[in-house]
Amino acid sequence: MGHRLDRGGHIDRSQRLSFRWNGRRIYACAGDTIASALLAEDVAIAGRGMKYHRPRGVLSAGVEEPNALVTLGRGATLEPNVRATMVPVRDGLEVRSQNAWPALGFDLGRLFDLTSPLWPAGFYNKTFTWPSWHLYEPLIRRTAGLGPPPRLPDPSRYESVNAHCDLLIVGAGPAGLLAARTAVRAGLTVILAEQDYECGVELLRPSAVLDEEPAITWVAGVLGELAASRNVTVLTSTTAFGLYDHGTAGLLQRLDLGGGRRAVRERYWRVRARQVLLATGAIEQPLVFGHNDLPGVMLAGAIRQYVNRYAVAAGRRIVLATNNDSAYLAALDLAAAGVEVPLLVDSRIAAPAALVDRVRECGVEIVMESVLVEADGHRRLRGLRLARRGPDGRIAGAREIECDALGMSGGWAPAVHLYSQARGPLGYDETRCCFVPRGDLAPICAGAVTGAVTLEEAFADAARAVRLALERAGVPMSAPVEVPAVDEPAVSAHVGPVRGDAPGRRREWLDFQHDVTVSDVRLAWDEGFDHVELIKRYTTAGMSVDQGKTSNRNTLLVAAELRKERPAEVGTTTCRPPYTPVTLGALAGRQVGERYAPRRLLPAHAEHEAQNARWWEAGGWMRPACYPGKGESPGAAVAREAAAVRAGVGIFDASPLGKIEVRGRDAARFLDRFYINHVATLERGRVRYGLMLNESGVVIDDGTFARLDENHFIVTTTSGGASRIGAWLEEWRQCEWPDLEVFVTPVTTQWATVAVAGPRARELLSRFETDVALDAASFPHMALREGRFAGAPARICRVSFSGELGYEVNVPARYGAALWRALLAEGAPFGVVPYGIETVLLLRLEKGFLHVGVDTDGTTCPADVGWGEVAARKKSDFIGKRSLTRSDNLRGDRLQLVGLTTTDAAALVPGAHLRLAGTQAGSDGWVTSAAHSPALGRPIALAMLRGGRSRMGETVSVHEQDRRGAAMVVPTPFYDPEGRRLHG
Amino acid sequence: MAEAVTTLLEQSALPAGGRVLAETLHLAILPARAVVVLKLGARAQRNAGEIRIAGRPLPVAVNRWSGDDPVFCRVGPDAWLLASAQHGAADLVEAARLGCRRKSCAITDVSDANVTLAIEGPQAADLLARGCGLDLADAAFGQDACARTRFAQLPVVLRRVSHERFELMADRSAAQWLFDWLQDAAVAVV
Repeated sequence: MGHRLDRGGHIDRSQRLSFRWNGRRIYACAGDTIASALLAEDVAIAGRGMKYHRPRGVLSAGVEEPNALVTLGRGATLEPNVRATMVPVRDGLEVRSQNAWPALGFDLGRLFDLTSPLWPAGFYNKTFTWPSWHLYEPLIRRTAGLGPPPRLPDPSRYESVNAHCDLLIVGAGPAGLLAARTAVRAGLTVILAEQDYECGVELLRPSAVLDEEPAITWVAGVLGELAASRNVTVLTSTTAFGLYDHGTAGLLQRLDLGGGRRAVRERYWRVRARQVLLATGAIEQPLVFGHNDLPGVMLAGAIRQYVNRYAVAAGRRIVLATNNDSAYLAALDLAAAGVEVPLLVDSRIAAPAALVDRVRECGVEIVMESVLVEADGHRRLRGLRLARRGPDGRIAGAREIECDALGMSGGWAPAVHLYSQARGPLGYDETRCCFVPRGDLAPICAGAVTGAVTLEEAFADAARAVRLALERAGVPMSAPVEVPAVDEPAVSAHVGPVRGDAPGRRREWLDFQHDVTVSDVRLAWDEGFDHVELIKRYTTAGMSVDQGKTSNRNTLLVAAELRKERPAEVGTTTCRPPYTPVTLGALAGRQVGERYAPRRLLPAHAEHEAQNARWWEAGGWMRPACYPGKGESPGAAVAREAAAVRAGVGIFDASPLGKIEVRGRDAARFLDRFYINHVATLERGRVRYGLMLNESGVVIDDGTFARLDENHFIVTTTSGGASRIGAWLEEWRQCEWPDLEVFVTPVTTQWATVAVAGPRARELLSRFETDVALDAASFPHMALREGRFAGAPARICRVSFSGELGYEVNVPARYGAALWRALLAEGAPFGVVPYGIETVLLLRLEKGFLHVGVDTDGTTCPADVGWGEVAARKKSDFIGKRSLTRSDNLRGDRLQLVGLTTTDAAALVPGAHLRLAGTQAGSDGWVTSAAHSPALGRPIALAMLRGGRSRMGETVSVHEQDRRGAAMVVPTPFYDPEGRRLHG
Repeated sequence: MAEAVTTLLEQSALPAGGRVLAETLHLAILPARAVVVLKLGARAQRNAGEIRIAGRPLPVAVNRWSGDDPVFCRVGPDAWLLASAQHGAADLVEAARLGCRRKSCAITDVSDANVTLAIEGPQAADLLARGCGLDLADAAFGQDACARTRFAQLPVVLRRVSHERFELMADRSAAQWLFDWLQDAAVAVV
């Protein structure tokens, strides 16, 4: 039975805490983890297996824990799949088990275990194929799985931070601490990240002695020195989950959950390190025997750590089983703490004599050349059956022993995950029975991750590693690395067999989290999935959230056994980020809600707000969609605004319109290479509309370009394309045509732009003092004039996106709000109305003007939208020209932009699909833009229709979900086809 | 008929003023200043050290700034920002024109496109690290350093004015969003 020891531990017994475990109050001490507190209260079952729902207890004391996954909190702050071994207890914490119904102690899902022969590895690939996997998937997802995700928006605060350093050290165990102190003393800037909430880890046990003092004194000394240094950042509760190119690492720091809404819950560190030193340690591996998943069966190192660090004994009578020396050290510590250890089972022929003698002196019986066959017990461990291995490896005698906890040690697998992520090469170490880093490639490894098994080896290796790091940093070492003297029993690195040759009848578990057994691997092998990568995928061994930290090595050994090869020949699977799960909240950081993306405001934002603008976020800009009056619907407002523009005058804030200055001796040549129409022939003071294509001949933007001077143009783009087209021009200038003397300068927000449109637009502008002649003869359509407007410098373009007489008045942005106010005030006698972007889109639809990105997609070429002849007429080259002659672009049955009209308003909605007469299946096109035209009094639409331009007058059927209607193909523009109004 | 409208009033993106986020961190919106982009052709770039504007040379190294007022920042191989709180944009443009006579260049007034925020205090770099991937340590980003970079997803020009003072020049349309972003980020810093 698990219980708290009367003395020892690295906990504060004076500070009593309590938390709820499935509603039951559990008492703990400050310094406990949830796992240690559960063990101290003799909670045997901490979770259920994912597939068979077998009861499982705490296996480990660290990040590798596969069983004790719990859910913290509830409601919006609920967090599933948290390893109980990694979470310090907080007062009032609510902890619940997962994947069990109706209760953890009585889980009906256990029926899957009782009928397990029906559900071997890959069962769903074979069984649930008829009539469709998707029929079964929801049920399987419900019965197999982990904790439930939170259903409410998480109110917690997360953030991300960028950090740089000379040396990132991952792991603050013995090697990491020594490396950090040495590097900091040498003057490097260091980030030291430790996934535990305390540094030292292995050194926190009382039996560790350094420099003839408790090791904890050495740890405190190092941490004190680091705390006093300005060039080091020590991060605890911080896991380096990913290591990428050029020393970029992702770190996840878990912070206090009890800090209130403003406190940061998790912090994502994006570290760019000049060098990385991995002191990530090693993970103890289980032994493989029957029922090795029973609650009470734990890793020996974990049992040792619970005793040393938390003063918790996992049982009253603890047997140890091992194939290496580390369990002997566990036996010594357990005996020193007063825990009964009746037996130590060692699968090897021999162990270091001094170690054996010391353990025997503690009253522990040692049996060599023996292996565990089976564990006994129903819901927790009651006893063990072991057998002796003969010289030929065969099992000879059998023996049983009662116990309530087992500490097993199948050797230690270096935590090479980050090293492997960084594409560091691995090699198999036959002696240690594990994969270790090979070579001195970056990143540098130190300590147990290289296979060091003693503190002395770990320190020596850390000294080597940090010297190498300093050498690479160009910092000479003036003094030797100050390595502490270690007082520990000598141990060897030799690792014996992990599994007996004649196992019992019970299942031998490899992957505790995904419920994978030896027989599953054998089945995969039998069915031809013989490569380790195939075995992994067929059985799902190592594919759960723990990524096989306690299963990959053993799965590999079983695979090697089946293939009759050495493990080195079998190879290993690839490690990929993240090392441990990362919450989406941490990755998103503060980039949620209002901070998801920058919100850009118009210069006259406050004026629009005062006029009851209905906001529409477009391309990052907050833009007025329309200005509904009191009690007026948005649709009615759009219709009213459109009618006012057609009849009188309206003003529209067009400031987001992209504006790019293009200057230089070769400006005209440069722009000619982008537009499908001519630029060089444009006269000074005139404006031309053009399309830009990409290399594939696809329309990517449209807009106007105006010639201000011989070598000075202003290019306008769509609002959403402003930065994209600016970058597009710059990229071609820099990379393809550096020989041209041309300068590209985006000036979108330098200018506030107000479009003034309607038959009375000129009258309204005439109300302002200006040196620009506004009369039609002096200032024709598609012209630009520079001058002053109401005292401000201005560029006025006579262009129209509404089909009415229109001007775009550009003034420096500081005058934007004043210009808007003045136009409204001066326009009052004309009945001026502000109109929004929805009204603009309606007005342009009536005119059949193109809206790139809405009426076009990633396949649309100029001919599809009626600009084929213009492009064909241009002799000089431009981007995309060659692609326009591809046979596919010349097909007559391409999707082409046409007008549609109907009397059935419900049928014409954007996205509705079209079918030509006689077509029974599939789609012949779709509606791209649609609205009810107030000017025409009927629904109108633009659509991409197969061979559309040759189908004028034909009727097409329109399909919108369950609705079906009919529409007639008509030419555009719908309104004022002669264009008389805009020339007014 | 009423009198014609002759004057439009100026209005800044954000009213200038300071905000004390903590004793160790101050955030301020600087008064509107003249900002001019100077771009030089390939040959002129190579001889940039010879160009003097308002009597002072342009910085030659990329991502370095010089001067007090006006301040010259070299923000790219071919681009300099000229900024001044004392001089108007027209004066600055004229000074640049004079300085770059007979040189292949483009001079563009972008005063209205930008707003400048100052972040000052011992924790200024900590705050900026929330939004910017640059290494802001003294050794990497010294007191003559500037850079065109991304901050909180926005294109900005970051300039280190002194050990504990940085200036962030950003687009005026996102000024309010950036100001709110900085204030919110500061919660975790202080």
